[in-house]
Amino acid sequence: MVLESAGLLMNYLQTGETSLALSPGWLAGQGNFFDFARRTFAGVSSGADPFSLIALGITVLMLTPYARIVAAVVYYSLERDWKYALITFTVFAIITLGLLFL
Amino acid sequence: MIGILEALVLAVAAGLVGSILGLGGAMILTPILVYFGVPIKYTIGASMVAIIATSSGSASSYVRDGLSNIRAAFFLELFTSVGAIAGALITSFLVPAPYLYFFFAAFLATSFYGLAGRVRNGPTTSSTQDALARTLKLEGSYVDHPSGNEVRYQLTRPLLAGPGMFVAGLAAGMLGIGGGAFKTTVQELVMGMPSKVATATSNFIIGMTALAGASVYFSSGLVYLNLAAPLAIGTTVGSLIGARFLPRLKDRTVRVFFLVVLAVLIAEMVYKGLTQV
Repeated sequence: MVLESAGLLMNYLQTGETSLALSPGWLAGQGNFFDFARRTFAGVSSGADPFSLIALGITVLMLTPYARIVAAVVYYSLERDWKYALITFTVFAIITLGLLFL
Repeated sequence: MIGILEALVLAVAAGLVGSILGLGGAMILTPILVYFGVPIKYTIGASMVAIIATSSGSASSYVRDGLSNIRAAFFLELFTSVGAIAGALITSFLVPAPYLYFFFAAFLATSFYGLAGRVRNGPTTSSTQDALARTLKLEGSYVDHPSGNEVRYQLTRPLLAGPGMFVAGLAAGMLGIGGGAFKTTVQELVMGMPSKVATATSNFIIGMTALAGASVYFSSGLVYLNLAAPLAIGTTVGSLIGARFLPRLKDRTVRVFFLVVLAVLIAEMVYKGLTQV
């Protein structure tokens, strides 16, 4: 959220733009989410610009529920609650396949 | 076209109402943004991302308060995630038919009547579990804030809730909404989940379901970052405020508020359908 706010503020300071201009430059781009995340991290490491900061914020945001699922798989596996380890792993598999191939 | 600041303010309001109701807030936000000239598919794509923020913001608070039933959430997520991916694929690759809005209006109306009956009768929590619910250990307890009493509950019929949750996921993925209204209704009416637990559990599920749907919108090139960012910030702020209110609200207050919002959404869906036929 801080990253997204910083990105929007930086964009305003640089361009004075306050309207929601849906130009191709603001498109997250095509390809799967992991490609987007990889491009984002590469973009941020080569210097902070409004797009990279907002993209990083969105990436972190999308990784939050993903991390929650991974944590649940690990938790139930450590607890040896195999029923829920299997259920959480299946959810993890469905969402990972979605992020990779759709 | 609407400005970023206006989008931000609208998103705060939608996030606040959304988290109190267990909705993603996008049901309220999407038609408003469309009204201001934002193309529907981009609104859906951005909303799908913003919903993750709403869920993350309030889910952590509900989990801390012990309101969310995590086991039930993950079991039901098996169905909603598949539904969300299917729904997002339909919107991305097939033109949505106008009569779809009528279908949703009818679905919401069913929820409305179901819940209206329960407002009069009060909450009915199940005392008997079926075999699968026992095997899955679907039960829990929470502290009811106005009374301070610990409320213990047992859930039932998880398999029957599955198809309902798939439909909820399908609707969420297709329309870029949290689908919380459907989810909460299924959890309460089919599984016998207490109202507040259903809202909190629904919020926990919504983020994961939205992630599944968002994956499709990302690859379809329908996510504009300058639209998604103010919506995500606004809904997060709104949902954090909303999550602070929910534990203090009485069950009946939540239900009546929920009914009013459902009525508005039904009218909105019918209107959308009529204007597009």
